Amino acid sequence: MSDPVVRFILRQLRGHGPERPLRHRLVGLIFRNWPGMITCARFEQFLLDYHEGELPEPQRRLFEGHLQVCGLCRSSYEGYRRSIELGQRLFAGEADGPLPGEVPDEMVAAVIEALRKRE
Amino acid sequence: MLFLNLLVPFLRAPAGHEAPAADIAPLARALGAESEADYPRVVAEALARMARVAERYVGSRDDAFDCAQEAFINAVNGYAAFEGRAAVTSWMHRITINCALQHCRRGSARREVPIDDLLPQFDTEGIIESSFRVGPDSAEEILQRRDARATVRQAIAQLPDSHRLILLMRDIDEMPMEEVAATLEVTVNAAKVRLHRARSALRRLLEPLLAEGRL
Repeated sequence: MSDPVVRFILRQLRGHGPERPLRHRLVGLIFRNWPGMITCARFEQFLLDYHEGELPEPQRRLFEGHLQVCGLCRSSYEGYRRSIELGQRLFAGEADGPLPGEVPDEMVAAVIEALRKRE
Repeated sequence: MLFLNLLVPFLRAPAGHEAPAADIAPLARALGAESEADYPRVVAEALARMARVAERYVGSRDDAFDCAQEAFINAVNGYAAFEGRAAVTSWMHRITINCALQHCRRGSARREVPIDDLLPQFDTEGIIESSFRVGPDSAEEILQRRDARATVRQAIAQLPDSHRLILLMRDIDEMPMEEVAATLEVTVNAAKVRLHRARSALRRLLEPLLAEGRL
């Protein structure tokens, strides 16, 4: 790496205080500055549109690039996707809720009777 | 089943203010009735279908039946205006959701619990701080586990109504985002933000279930 790049990296690492772990500072530096990279926070902003298939191509490439390099966001997205699927499968079909046989006869009769009275 | 008791007097138009007759026959025919003898069957099927939809919004079976009856009456009353652009069952599905949402609004005493703690956190570098555990099992495999269905149902019920309802409308009832936003009287962007927060919170609530079976 050339001297200006090294100086830039060191300046960035020094400039963010001792409270952040070095790994975070280094990863943050790369995600924020490397061409074609985005931060996890940006990834999170793109998540809904990506899942809905509405993320425009340039952002989609950035999103998928981040998905490949960031294990935490990969697990996070997998959890997001699977949670939605769990809800959908839970309520799919007739597994949940009352069946026609469980509708009280008097309720059916009351509805029909009420409507007939108006005819 | 309060609605059942109130149903008949409610439908009687006051003297001198006769409501237009709402004939059950056209809707019943559209639902597969060939004669009046079939009415009980098609009405029972429709009420069950509508109560199934309403139950996930309103929570209790009794309230769901109340919504279903109200929605069925609304469907009969509105059938003349039904343009047939969707299947009649899809149209009734939407009517049921509207009735259920009204029911939820009427009982909006439910306390809104903040969900910020369930959302992912980022440091000042924009790097995610919270890790998420997810196992190898598919959603279908997870739901076959003992008590998994109840766990998912409880997790959804735990969300505050402002987030729970939008999640149900979009992810379960698959309403278009524009329709969800219009129903809630918010912009599409605001609806998207709320939906994303709801999904993210649900993900955290379901993490123990998703992480099970992890290698």
